Amino acid sequence: MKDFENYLEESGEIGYVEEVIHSLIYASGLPGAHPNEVVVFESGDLGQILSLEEEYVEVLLLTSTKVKVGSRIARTGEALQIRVDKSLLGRVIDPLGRAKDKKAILKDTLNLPIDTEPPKLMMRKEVESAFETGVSLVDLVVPLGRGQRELVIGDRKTGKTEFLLQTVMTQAKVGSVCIYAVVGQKQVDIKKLQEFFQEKGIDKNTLIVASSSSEPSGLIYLTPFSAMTIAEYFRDQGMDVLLVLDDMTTHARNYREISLLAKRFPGKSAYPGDIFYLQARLVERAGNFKKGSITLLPVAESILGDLSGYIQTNLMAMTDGHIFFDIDLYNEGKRPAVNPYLSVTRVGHQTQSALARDVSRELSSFLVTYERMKQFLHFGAEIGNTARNILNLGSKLDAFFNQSADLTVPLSANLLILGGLWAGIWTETKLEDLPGQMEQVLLSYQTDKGYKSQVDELIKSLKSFSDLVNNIRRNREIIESKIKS
Amino acid sequence: MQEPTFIYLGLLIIASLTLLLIGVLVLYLRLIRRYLNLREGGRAELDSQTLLANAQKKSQEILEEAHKKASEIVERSEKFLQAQEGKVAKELEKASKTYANYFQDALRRVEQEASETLKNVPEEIKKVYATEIVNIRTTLDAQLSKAREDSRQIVLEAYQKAEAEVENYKKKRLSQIDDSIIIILQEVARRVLSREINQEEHERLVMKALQEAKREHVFEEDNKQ
Amino acid sequence: MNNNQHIYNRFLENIKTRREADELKEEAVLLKKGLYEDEGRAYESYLKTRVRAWVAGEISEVFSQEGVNKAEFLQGLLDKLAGLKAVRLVIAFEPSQEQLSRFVSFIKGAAGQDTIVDLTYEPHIIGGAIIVYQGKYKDVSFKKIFEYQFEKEREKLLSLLDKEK
Repeated sequence: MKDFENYLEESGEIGYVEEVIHSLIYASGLPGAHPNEVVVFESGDLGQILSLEEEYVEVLLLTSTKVKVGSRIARTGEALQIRVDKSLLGRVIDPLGRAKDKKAILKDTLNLPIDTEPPKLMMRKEVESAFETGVSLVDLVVPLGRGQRELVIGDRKTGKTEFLLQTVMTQAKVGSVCIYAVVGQKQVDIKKLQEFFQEKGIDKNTLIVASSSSEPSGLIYLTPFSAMTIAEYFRDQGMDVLLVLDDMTTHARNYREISLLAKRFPGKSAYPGDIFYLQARLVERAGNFKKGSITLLPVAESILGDLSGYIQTNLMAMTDGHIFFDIDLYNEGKRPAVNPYLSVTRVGHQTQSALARDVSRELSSFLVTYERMKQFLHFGAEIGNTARNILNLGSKLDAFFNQSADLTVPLSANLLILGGLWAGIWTETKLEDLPGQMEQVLLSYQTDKGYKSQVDELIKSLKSFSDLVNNIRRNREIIESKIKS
Repeated sequence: MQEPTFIYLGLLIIASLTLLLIGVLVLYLRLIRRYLNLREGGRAELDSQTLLANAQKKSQEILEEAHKKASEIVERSEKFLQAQEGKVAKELEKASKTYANYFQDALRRVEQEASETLKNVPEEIKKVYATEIVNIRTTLDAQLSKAREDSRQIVLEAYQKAEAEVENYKKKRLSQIDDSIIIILQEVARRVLSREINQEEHERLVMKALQEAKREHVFEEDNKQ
Repeated sequence: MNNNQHIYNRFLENIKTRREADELKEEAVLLKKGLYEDEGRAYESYLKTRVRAWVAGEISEVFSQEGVNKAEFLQGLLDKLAGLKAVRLVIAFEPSQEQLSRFVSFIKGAAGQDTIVDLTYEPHIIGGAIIVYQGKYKDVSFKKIFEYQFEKEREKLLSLLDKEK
């Protein structure tokens, strides 16, 4: 209450609530208000000014308490800000910076505005270093780079969140700061996420900015902006940041709700005309900069695999590629259910080493050939030796790409095992034994430091896939020695 | 020329008739042979009957002999058995007697030993138990005293904590009381003051306020912004 | 129309508070309605019985002039009343009529003739006034000073009390 009186004194202006429609307040008075300014109610609730009319000021309520008509409002003269500090890591906060886990309230340190302009061209740098996700299929076929914005799109329950958590695990282990923004999801999901991070021991590098679906629309609408502001703070400290926005379609729906309540003219699919501007100015704040990098993974939900939805195509236009999670592949049992033919990475390939790029190319063209062969097989025609070999290798490759949700594979191990596959090490092995043997090799790579450096040296020294395959053909023990039957 | 044919034909007929005759003769002879065989068989049958009777008599004789021999063997074996029984019984008696003696000796020996060891056991046990009991007593004592100390400590700490909490609580309550005092004072002062200020003073104050507001452009139109 | 403005101002001179404005509004609406009831005869009866004396007097004077359209005039009066600006004044005492008139005339002088005063009595502020006009807020009351002083002197007060104990 004291704060309210203070603001009243300072600003010398007062407003009275005239009308309340859900989370929108129409107030009279406040002659000097600006758009996007924060206002304080008598009860201590916060609101943000959406627009100014001749007689009224339109305020978006940011708390869930019911405001009474006639209560007083004071201007604060500030735009929405959030407290940022290194101590945020390991915590769960809401978009206004208040703690959601039952720990102490954060200290009042640096305050940064939530909605800022994206950085100009001179502050940016080309995307040049690779970004490992730990998921073999993505790292080999749809590789990402640090500072890339890659859309993760798919139907609900196709494994998008599992993929994101694998990425967070991999990145947290190499020291990046991982910020996970939960936009309007269930409370229980937020809790599960927090427990997951604690269980994997990576909560010292992670931060959750969360708004549950029961919170006011204004708060849900602010969540990705707050998360981006915190990401920018860490970027300015020189760190590499991974920011996951789960999910942007809910965010768009929320903004649509607010706009329609505010009687804005509806556009396509009843979304307001500025929905692209809203999400684009958020996505543009990520990228690779001179000080640090923000790699952005926004999530979008498609309905029945329809990539041509309004928000989905908007997001695809704003990002540097997308990873498509196909519901058909998921139903076939593929995990992760990434469709390599429909997934795109626009700046990922330039970050790969020569070997990795060659492998990527070979793999992509092989996958296309394999797919064609599989179609051919449906006709029941007799297949010659070449086709049979391709199908064999293809099915082994499928087994290799099938990765469980709690396993992360480093890139060098991926390249080694792939080279081994092409070199014919597993030609005679049965399909059921293949995953076990590959895991043995992976385990040796992860536990035996000598073996790891040997493999890393080899990978670094080679420049093309054929070199790798020939090398492995010549000394098969590099893999076979790690397989115990 | 028809004559040779007639001759041939006649020859043929004669030949065939001869053959036929031979055939019939052969058959007749066979028949006779068979009849003769059968007749012998009948005789043989008659012979067989006497043979059977002989055989029967012979078999009976054999049986009787066998029976006689068997009974003899049985007799003999019975006698043998009796003799053997007698021997075995004697042997058994002897053996049992000796074993009984052995057993009794052994028993006596064991008794002696047992009694000796038994006598010793209490002594040893007593010794062991004594030391054990002493040990237990000392440890018990030590533990008891430690427990006493610990509990004393705990009680002390709890008491101190309680004291500290009470102090804390006292302070809080005092400050709360201070606050309420202040509030009451404020109210009182307020009421007194407002009664103190008479109508004219009030009016003067309000006019002053209005003038200050005017000075600060509160009453001006909002056209600039 | 300037003439009418002049006449309207005469009405406004008598309107000090929102309550008075609302009363006048009701009377004007009633009279306007009465012009169309009972072939105009209801107007006469309302004027005599349902309208205050001074209002009736002013109205009669205006309508006695030539070329005055009654309905138009009454509508103009209603519009004028709707366009009045309110100054919210929170004071700590209940003023007499003369005091109120003095306040109102000052305010009208400062903010224009077409203002009225929304008066609220709140002894809580002890003295002075809180003024709100068109969203602008000015607290010139004792309350603030009072609370401020109390905070400063808190310790002194408490020690005084202790001494008395």
